[in-house]
Amino acid sequence: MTSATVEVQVLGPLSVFRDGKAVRLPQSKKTRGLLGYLAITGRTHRRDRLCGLLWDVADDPRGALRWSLSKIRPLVDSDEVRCLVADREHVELQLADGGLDWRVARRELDAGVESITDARLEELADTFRGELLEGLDLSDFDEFTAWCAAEREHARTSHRQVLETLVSRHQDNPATALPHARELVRIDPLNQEARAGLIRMLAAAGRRNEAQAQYESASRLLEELGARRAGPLVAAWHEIKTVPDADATPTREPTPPPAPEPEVPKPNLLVGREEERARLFSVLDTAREAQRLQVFLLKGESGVGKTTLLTELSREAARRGCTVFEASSYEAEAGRPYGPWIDALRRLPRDTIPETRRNALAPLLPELGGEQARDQNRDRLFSAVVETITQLATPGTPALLLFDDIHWCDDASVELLHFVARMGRTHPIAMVLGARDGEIVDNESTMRVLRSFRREGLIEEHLLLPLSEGEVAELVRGLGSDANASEVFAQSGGNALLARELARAIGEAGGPVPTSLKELVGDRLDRLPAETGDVLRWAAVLGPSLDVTRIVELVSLEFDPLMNALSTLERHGLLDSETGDPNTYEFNHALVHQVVYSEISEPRRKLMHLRVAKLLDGRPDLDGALAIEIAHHAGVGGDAGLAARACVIAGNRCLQVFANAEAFAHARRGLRYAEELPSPEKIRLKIELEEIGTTARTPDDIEGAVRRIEALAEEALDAGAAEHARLGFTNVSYLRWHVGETRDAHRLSLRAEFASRGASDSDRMVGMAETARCLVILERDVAQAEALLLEARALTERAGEASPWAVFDGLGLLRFHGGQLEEAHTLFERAWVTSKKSGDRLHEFMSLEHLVAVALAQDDGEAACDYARELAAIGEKLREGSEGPLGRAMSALCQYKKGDLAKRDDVERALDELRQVDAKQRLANALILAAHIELDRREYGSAQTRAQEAARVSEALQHPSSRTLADTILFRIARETDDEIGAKRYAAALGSLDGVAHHVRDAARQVLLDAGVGEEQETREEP
Amino acid sequence: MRRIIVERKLEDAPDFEALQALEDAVAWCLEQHRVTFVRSYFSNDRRTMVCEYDAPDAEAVRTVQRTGNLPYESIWAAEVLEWQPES
Repeated sequence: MTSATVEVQVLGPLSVFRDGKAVRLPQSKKTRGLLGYLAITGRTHRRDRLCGLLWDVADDPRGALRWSLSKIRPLVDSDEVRCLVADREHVELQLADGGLDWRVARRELDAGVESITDARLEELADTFRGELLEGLDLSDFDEFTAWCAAEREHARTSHRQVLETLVSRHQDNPATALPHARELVRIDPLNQEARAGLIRMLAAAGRRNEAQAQYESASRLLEELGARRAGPLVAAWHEIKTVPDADATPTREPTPPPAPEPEVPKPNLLVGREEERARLFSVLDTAREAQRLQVFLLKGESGVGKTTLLTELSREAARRGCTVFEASSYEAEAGRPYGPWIDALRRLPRDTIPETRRNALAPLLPELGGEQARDQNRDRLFSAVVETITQLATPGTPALLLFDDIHWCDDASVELLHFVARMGRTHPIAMVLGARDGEIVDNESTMRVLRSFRREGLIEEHLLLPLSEGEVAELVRGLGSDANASEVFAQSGGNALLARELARAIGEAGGPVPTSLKELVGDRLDRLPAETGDVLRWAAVLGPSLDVTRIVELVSLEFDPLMNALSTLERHGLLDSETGDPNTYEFNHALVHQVVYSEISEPRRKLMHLRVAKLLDGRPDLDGALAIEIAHHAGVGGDAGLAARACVIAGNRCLQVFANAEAFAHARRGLRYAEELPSPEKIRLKIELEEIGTTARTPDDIEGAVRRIEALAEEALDAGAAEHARLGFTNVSYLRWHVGETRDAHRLSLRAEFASRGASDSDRMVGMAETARCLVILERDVAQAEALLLEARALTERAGEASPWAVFDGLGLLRFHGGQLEEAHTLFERAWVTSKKSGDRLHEFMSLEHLVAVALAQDDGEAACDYARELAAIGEKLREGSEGPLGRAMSALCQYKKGDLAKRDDVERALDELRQVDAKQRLANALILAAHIELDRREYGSAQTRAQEAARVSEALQHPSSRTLADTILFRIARETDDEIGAKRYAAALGSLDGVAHHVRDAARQVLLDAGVGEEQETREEP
Repeated sequence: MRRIIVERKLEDAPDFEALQALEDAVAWCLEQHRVTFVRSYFSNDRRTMVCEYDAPDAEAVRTVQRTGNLPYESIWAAEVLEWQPES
């Protein structure tokens, strides 16, 4: 490599030039996005920030970043000059002064547009070749999207400033000003002042027909987008209507006459490719002969002809009587879980799917009328799909699964594809996939599955190369074009789509034509009648595949002209109607769709999406599929409220069909929209979206998520959104206690029902806190207890009241259970103070009872003794019950522990009293403490008797922690008395520590480890 | 499970509906503590009441009574003696 000047252009599609020559960019969109980001920001970035920007859900984000940087380096670096400066932590792209078009334009404009000469302004106008980073939308990556939107807005404003200045400077010279005025209207078609200026200028130049066409086009556009014609536009029109026409042409022509429409022959002509065709057909043969699954991946650059070949395979399979499951993935539909599978299954004849399987498939195909089973799970759904395929794969006619453009495939579909490959291995199935080889690396889940296929030697791959010169000549002939085949080959490089477009354009124009696909399609769009062009633009906004009934509602055309327009677009090879479904049209190629879409100016596009979102909003949406569309359109259209609400529905829909990655993406996007909304709607939506996000994916930083959601729940209380506050607290509790477990709706309803009882707010809070204490004491549902306690505490604090005793004591019990002894101690102290203030002896007693327990767990004998003394004193003041005996027992036990053996009689007496009043939990606690003390003194017989009683009592109570403590003591006794059988039995009992308090679990593990049992177990677990 | 007896003295003679409402209010708590109500006895003036429960221990019944603020004099675990007359 030698030194070269590097220039990056971002005003339009991203391009890189070395010594003035364009270099081929990596096909990975993320890599191009990263290059654009580094070039425009022009500063140092931490690697982890860049990972978060584009690879936040990747398996190995740093590896993915490294890979992308390795693709950027050869574009910008030479032997002498290193533009890409990267170390272990940081990355920066250092371009020379003047190395970035946008930076140059910005700098000059910032210095003041008035000081720029006309000639330089003209040059600057030319540098804006299109939208900034055109086509590089990465809508799944919020931060990148937000940054890109802001940067584009800035660039658009600058472009407008350049054009407005030029128009105003050349006011008296319409010939010079007109192109700029037109461009101004193109980039900002809703700007009525710009349009009015253009109309006046055209009239002044004597081109009244054109002025009238502009006025009508603006009126139609405004009508379609639901906007009103405002003063400047109407005024300009009235002005020119009254001026006599310079041409003195009296006739009224609503639009310029449409360009002649040549009949276009069949667009997707297959030429050459004999070898590939034979290989593809042989996949069907092999599947039939071997009666086994065959997987084939057809790769190639975009437009090279993959889809045409795959369509040929589909036809051949149908000819052979095979069932074909056929679908494509679309870039805009990444958030639609199982999108291609749903499309493929829907294309099957109705009666193909037996009644018995309809319930299992209901999550994907609700229209089959099946009822989604209560116990529906992912395996059941996946198995139903496998059964549907294997049933149709007969020994003589294998089933063909044909999935095109899998580089855009959603995660859920890829998982199902993998499942089908695993479960259908011994069936005659041909699985044929199409993908752009350069872009597939951006799709983590697809790559993962392909890697697994490769490891297992399951997949055959073929890279489709561009057409040869002879094949291009054949294509040109087949299209009936007069174009020079060598010229077409040279310009297209053998890319079938580009060759086809070039052949057609040269044939039509008969002179020089543009050379890029963007310009070719743009050119064709310009030559379409205005109404037809509008229909195509609406089609582009609706997506690569669209429902005609929607277009009917969106465009301002009557039915017949609309149908004519669609036929014209079909004849021009821009849209294709789908076989067998007259209501569905599809863009002839994803690239054509992309070009048409990017030709629509940003402000217009935004309003068009908004109109689609509003059209769809409120329609019946049984399975939430519509919400996914609304979320997309409202998001681009800038209606944050509608978008966030749709994201909630879409996210929940994804969770229902086990599409966690998509659910998480909707939640994340929804959170971004919700941020723009006013409270309380913002808080409500954020709580719902956080719940979807944390259910779909366990957060890496659980404590961070807990803090964030707890703060939201508190804000919800401030805003009077009590139900949402509760939802937030419940979410927090599940994050703390049940991460990874299924949420149990029954428990939630039970808890909500109990908690909402009670006449006044303060009664309700006490009720909630008491319920929670009850749950944690019984070790039944600590997560629910936490939710209730947090809510009760927040409610009382908001009401300006002191929290009830039960909140402090309950939270203390929770922290004790969780092994956070210091925190538990502080909370019990507060509970004690609160109870003393209110004069509630029973509460005071319980606080002290818990303080004794914490002090003992902390091995602080002195403190335990002090609290136990207080406990006994209060216990004596309480009436009938277990308090008196427990106070006496604990006080005596603490003295006994310190070595006062004379207290043993007191201990026995108090234990007997506890038996008499039948307080099993308190008895078990006292017995365990006594057994511990005696075990430390090696009084094995007595310790064993007490521990056995404690175990029996705990068993009757179904209290796991007490039972575990008793078993721990019995295990130690067995070890120390060489009772091997006993030791084994208790070690086995300690094997399962489910539901046991953390401090108890830790103690049990420590005892096992000390005895060498834990180590043995760990050693066994090593591979 | 043990049979637990709760003895109550009531200031005002309550009607059955009010008693049922009190009982309902602690239904959830009873369930959590695995306490089952068996039956109640009333004196003629309805000021003395004895309730029978089945529970893991007497303490569970105490906890429920306290949580629901139900009045009681004493709570104890009972041995049940079913006298069988000679035929």
